[in-house]
Amino acid sequence: MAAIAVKVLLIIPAYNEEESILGVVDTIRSSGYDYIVVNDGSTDKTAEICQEAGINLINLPRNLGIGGAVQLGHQYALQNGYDIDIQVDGDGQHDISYVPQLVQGIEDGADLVIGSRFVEQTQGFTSTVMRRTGITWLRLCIQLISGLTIYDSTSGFRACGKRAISLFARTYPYDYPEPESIVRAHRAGLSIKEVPVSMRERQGGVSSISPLKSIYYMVKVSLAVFIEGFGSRNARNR
Amino acid sequence: MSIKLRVLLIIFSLVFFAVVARLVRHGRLQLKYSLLWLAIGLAFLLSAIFPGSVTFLKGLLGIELASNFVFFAALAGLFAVSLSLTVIVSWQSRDIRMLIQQIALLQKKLEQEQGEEQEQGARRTPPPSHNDTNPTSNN
Repeated sequence: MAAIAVKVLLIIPAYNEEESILGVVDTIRSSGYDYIVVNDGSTDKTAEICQEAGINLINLPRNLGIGGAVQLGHQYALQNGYDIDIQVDGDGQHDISYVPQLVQGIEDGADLVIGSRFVEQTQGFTSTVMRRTGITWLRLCIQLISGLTIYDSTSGFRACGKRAISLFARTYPYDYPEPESIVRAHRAGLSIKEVPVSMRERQGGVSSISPLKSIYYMVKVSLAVFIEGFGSRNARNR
Repeated sequence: MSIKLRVLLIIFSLVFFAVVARLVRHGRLQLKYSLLWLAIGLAFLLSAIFPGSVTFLKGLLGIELASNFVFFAALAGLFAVSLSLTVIVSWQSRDIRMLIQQIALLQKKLEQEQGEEQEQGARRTPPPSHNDTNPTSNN
């Protein structure tokens, strides 16, 4: 399938990533993909650094959280006619040499392709025991609610096809959106697929999830998954 | 209910009506949100004018003390009000989020168009000093 070139956009949400953003964007630039950095109302010098370096940047005037920033990326992709958009974290965890695999997943017919650390035993960073336990719990929740088996539901390294882009541009979950958006996409009848990737440890900055917040996070995300899931049953009945 | 308490309640609810009406008239409270408060004030007023209604209702719910019934009713009413407030806050935060995203998109579009204009300008139009001799630059 050589004739039609698909337009691919990399979305890099960045909140206070002044230490790592240049490195991430440099790798993307040298790879030749279109990209957009979504500055989520950073309070550090992220915006200035990007502007000085001539980085393609879109600025949220206020901090909306990761959900709002990613959604803006989808809206930008929709507005500019991209066929596929791929979310890449601004902290350097995601290895963009896996982008072709994600794109291939979309071209094979999936609407949402998730880059997963756990589908196959890939090399690289697989996060802490605590976090892996949480991810297993989420896998069981999502399985119970939708019948889908997603091994790495919190992965933010994911590709969306046209249908997923227009769904997420319209409606995207708020605070910790990754697992919830999977259930939402499933409910909207989109097909979801995982492909193996490996991840690195973050290059700079602090993770958005501190140990203290992790229990709150798990309760909230589980609840969100269940509520989304119950909606799906009703939606199918109607 | 003592006559003193009834008079107090009547005065209280009348003042409450006046305050709500004033807020609506000055545009500090939307009419649709005032309805709930007016209904609550009306409940106070009615229970003061017809104390028998409170006795009847508490019997209906199997509550022995009139005061307990009043507390229960007030609590239920406040639950309803605060739930509706969080619903309103959720709508608003969704709308604000959408507006912030729209602003960001518009700003980006503006920058893109300005960038393109500058590029085109650099390519097509001659330097500004020759502008008045160039017919195409008058548009």
